[in-house]
Amino acid sequence: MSGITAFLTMGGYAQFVWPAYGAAAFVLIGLLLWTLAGYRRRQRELEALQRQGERRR
Amino acid sequence: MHRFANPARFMRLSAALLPWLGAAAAVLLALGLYLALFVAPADYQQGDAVRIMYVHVPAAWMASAVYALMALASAVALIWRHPLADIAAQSAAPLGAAFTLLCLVTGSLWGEPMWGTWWVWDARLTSVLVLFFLYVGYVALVHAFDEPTRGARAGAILALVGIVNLPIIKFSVDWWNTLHQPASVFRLGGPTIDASMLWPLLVMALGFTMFFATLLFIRMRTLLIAAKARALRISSLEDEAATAAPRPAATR
Repeated sequence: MSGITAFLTMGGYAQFVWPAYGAAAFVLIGLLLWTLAGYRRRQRELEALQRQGERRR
Repeated sequence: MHRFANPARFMRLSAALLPWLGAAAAVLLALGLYLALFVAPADYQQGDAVRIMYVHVPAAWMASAVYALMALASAVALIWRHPLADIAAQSAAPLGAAFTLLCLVTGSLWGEPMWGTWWVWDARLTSVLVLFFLYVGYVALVHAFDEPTRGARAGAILALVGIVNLPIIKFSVDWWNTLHQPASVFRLGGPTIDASMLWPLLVMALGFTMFFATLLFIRMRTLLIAAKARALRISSLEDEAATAAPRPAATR
C-alpha cells in the first residue's frame, strides 16, 4: 500500500476520521463566514443611518 | 478593569488586536492540522482513529471554557453592570454552542469504532448534551424579550445557574461508571498522554482558542455597532416626531 493510500484510508478508519475533520472544518469555516457576514451587515446598516442623519442636518 | 469598560476604547483595542489574533489562529490551526494528520503517530491500540482526538478534545475544552467565560461575564454584568459584559456573554454563546456540537459529533464518530456505539446515555455524554442545551436556552432566552436589557438579565441568570454543570462534566468520568476515558492531560500528577501526541493536541487547542478569541472580538464589535445603530434610529425617530407634530406645551 502506497503512502497516499495509507493516508487516505487512515488504517481502515477513514469513514470515521475524515467525517470528524470534515465536521470540524464545516463548523469553524461556517462560524467564521457567519460572523463576518453579520459584522458587515451591521456596519453597512450603521453607515446608511449616519448618511441619512447628515442629509437631514 | 473599568479602563476597558469603555466601548469606544474596546473598539480601538480590538481593531488593533484582531489582525494578530486572526493570524495566530490561522497559523496555529494549519500547524495543528499538519501535526495531527502527518506527524503524530498512530495509537498502538486505536490505530489512526486516535487522530479524531485532535479535533474532539480541543472542541470539548472550548465547550467548557467558553461556558465558564460566559458565566463569568454574566456575573460581571449582573453585579457591576459592566457595559461590555453582557455583550461578551452574548457574543460567546453561539460559539460555545458550536464547539459543543462539534465535540458531540466527533465524539460520536470516535465512539462507534472504539466503543461499538455512536451514543450512550452515560454521565459524561449526557452532561455535555445538557451543556449544549444550556447554550441554546441562553440564546433563546436573551432574544425572548422585547427589551434587550431584560433579555440580557434573564440570560445572565440562566448562565450562572447552569455553571453547576461544569464540574459535573469534568468529574463525571471519575464519579460514575462510563465508557468515556478519564482525563489524561489536566490531571493531578501530570499528563499520561505521550509527548508525541500531547504537542499536536496543545497546538490545536491553542489554535481553537485563538480562533474563538478572534470571532468573539468580531461578534462583540458587531453588537456594539448594532447598539449604536439602534440609538441613532431612535434619536432620528424622535427628531421626526418633534418636527412633524410640535406638541403644545400645555397638553400634559
